[in-house]
Amino acid sequence: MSLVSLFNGFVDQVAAEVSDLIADFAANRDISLGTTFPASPALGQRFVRTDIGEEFVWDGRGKWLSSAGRTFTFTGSPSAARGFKLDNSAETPLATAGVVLPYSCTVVQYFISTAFDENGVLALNKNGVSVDTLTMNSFILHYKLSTNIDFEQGDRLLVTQQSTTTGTWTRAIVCVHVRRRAS
Amino acid sequence: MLWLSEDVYNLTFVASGTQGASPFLVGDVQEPLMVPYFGVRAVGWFVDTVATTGQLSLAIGATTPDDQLNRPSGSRFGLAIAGAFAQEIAVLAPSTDFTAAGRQIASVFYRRS
Repeated sequence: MSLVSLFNGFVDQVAAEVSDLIADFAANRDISLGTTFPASPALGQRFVRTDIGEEFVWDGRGKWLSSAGRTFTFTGSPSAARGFKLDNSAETPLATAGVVLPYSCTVVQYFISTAFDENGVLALNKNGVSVDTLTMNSFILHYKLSTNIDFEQGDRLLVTQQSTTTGTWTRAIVCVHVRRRAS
Repeated sequence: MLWLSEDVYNLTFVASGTQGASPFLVGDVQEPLMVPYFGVRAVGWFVDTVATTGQLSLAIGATTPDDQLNRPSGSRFGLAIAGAFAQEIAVLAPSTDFTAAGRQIASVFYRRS
């Protein structure tokens, strides 16, 4: 094989690989835009809702959820009027307490972190009604990382100490991760 | 190089001035708080306090300060703080806050890694 034909073969190979790369790029950059979600989306499909100004992903939960997550943080307090109670007594959630959600969203995970090993039950409440609970088993970190709990625009999100078995929760923080939901 | 989450997570500490209720570490007597991800990278934080003197410290993965902000308010973003065991995030207050911290807020932004 001559040096020229070897060189030409190399050039052809590079040209073919570049062509493949361009084709891959063209296929992957196709993020659709619009004001109405496409019918029959595929898992992981992305779509930018131009009327909302946000990108959504067809989630494994079968919902269009924002690709950007938000966190609501709640901290404990000796007073029921602020945060949630830490005083070793069950707390009754109030329908008029909590974060008023500015948009429909889905809670995809939440956790509670405490300074010391704690027991009891943490409740996630919607408009004063418990919709999910997290049982604490004498550790400093308790969590659920794959939840699917819908809230609607205007609902109140609140966490409460539903019950305790011993002691008082010390330095507790609850983080509730949500993704905006649209349809 | 690390794989970092697209999401920026947030952990907000609110100190009420009552020992035990404060999520700040004061006087090195309590443990830092944990997040359920084995690996985090702090990208920014801000503080806002009633107290006007002293500093708050941010500690990732341990109780050794990684960054400080002066009270009463300040912010810093563009950080890339990761610890060897970076599942723990703490905000440290001066030891003089042990009995009366006053109202203080510190908010930490981080990505999973």
